[in-house]
Amino acid sequence: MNHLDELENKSIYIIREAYNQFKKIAVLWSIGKDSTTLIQLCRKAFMGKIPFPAIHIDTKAKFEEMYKFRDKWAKKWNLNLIIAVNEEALARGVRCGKSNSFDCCNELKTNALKQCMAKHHFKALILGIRRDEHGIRAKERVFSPRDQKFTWDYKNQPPELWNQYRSVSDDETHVRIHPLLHWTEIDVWEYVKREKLPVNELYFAKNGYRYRSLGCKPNTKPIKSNADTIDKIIEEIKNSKVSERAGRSQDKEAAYVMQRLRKLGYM
Amino acid sequence: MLVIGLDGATWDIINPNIARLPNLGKLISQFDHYTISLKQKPWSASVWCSLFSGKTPEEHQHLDFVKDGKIQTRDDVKVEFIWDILDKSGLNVKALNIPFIVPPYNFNLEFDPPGHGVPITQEELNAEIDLVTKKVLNILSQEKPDLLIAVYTALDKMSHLHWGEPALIDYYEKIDQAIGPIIDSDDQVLILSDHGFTDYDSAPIQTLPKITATGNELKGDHHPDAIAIAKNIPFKITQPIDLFNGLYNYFNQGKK
Repeated sequence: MNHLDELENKSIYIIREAYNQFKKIAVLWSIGKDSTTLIQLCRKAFMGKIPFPAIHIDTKAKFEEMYKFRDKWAKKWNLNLIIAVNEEALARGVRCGKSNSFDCCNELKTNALKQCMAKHHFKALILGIRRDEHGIRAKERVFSPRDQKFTWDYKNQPPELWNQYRSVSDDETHVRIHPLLHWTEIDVWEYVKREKLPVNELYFAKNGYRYRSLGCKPNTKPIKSNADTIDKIIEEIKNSKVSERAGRSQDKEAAYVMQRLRKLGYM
Repeated sequence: MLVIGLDGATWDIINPNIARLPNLGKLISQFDHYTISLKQKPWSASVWCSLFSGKTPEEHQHLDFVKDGKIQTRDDVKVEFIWDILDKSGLNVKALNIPFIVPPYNFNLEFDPPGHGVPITQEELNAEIDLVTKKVLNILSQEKPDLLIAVYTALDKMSHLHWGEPALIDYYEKIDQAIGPIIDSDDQVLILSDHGFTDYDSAPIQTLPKITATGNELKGDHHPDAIAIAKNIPFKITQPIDLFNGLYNYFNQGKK
């Protein structure tokens, strides 16, 4: 069995285990390469038809190319797609790129998801995060409980030893499941290539720039790159010393830092 | 050589409490120690940048952690630091938790600081001492870098929040205990702060509002008199840029 087969097997096992434990479950699809890989794994896990909904949290600030991609492939893959929008916050004038990043992430992503979870009574969510993506994610578990306020208490989470996942949840929590936690950015691209998966055109270089990570348009910057094929992207990542999310200038980590500086009175 | 930064450390706390700070006391009684009276404004981001780049604020233009509403990153600071330069010349240099940006910067190592690099709660403030110390001792147990720089940043927050209170003296004591094994591990050790501290209302410059956005009252603020304690360090620092110049000249003379 080669490396990608091993990764795929483990992920499919986790997805099936999750569905077995939580019937009220959904998969988050951000339209990026990782969550599209996750959708593919879910499709494989259930022989082509995913038996639970896919949620896209729409901040109304994604790239046009992302919306086109979402609508085209949701239809082709026959996904039960739920588009989660915090209409109330939008009505109040909250906009990505206009409010400070913590508030807009909180309102348009976290609260949109909270509303969606409450409406559909989901008890578990499958997400496409990877451990190599960001320092804070090194502490994540494959089955990761969240409390009612969506808080992740990383100092008090169940151990997962020898791949014995703690998939049973307390009633008060919802559980996040991370089937791609053990994948790397290069694994994802090699899998995309092998499976001939569609990925957004924004990932491929045009006029010397490409997006390495996709988020909301006002907060996502392209990197200098001539990688216009998957092979070139893989080669570029192998030689890169810059973090994958470097282009996500206002990502959550920066927002946390900003919030803490504000608490101390820095601005 | 070890360079240990104590963000905001001041003689006004160390001297009257020296009996409770035996490790600093031992160094002070045996080696050189003096005051660095800053001529540049005592803003942490700017002073740490000057200390390790050898550039004045007018030259490096990096004045604060946030500019135009955006948190500054390493890429926003357009200077070369001492670790960049010495590393290129083949020396083994490591830098841990350097607070010219937040989260603080690391060179040639990985470090996950408490509180996203801005520790606020007492648990986070205490954890920083433990984590920085553990990381330094871990590095020193495996190798002996030509230059290892580490900064205890949370003393600054502690001094803002608890100036004039016994809790601050307790915190100095914790740092003193933590650095004991570190300062004994090398023949050349420089301990320094980026600025001093004083009572909020007496501070010649207010770097933060007295009442923060969350309603906390700050008790202390920055003072332009910083500290230096030098164990066998062959240069003296009168202004922040002297640290960079001293390190640069020392290592370029091949005296490792």
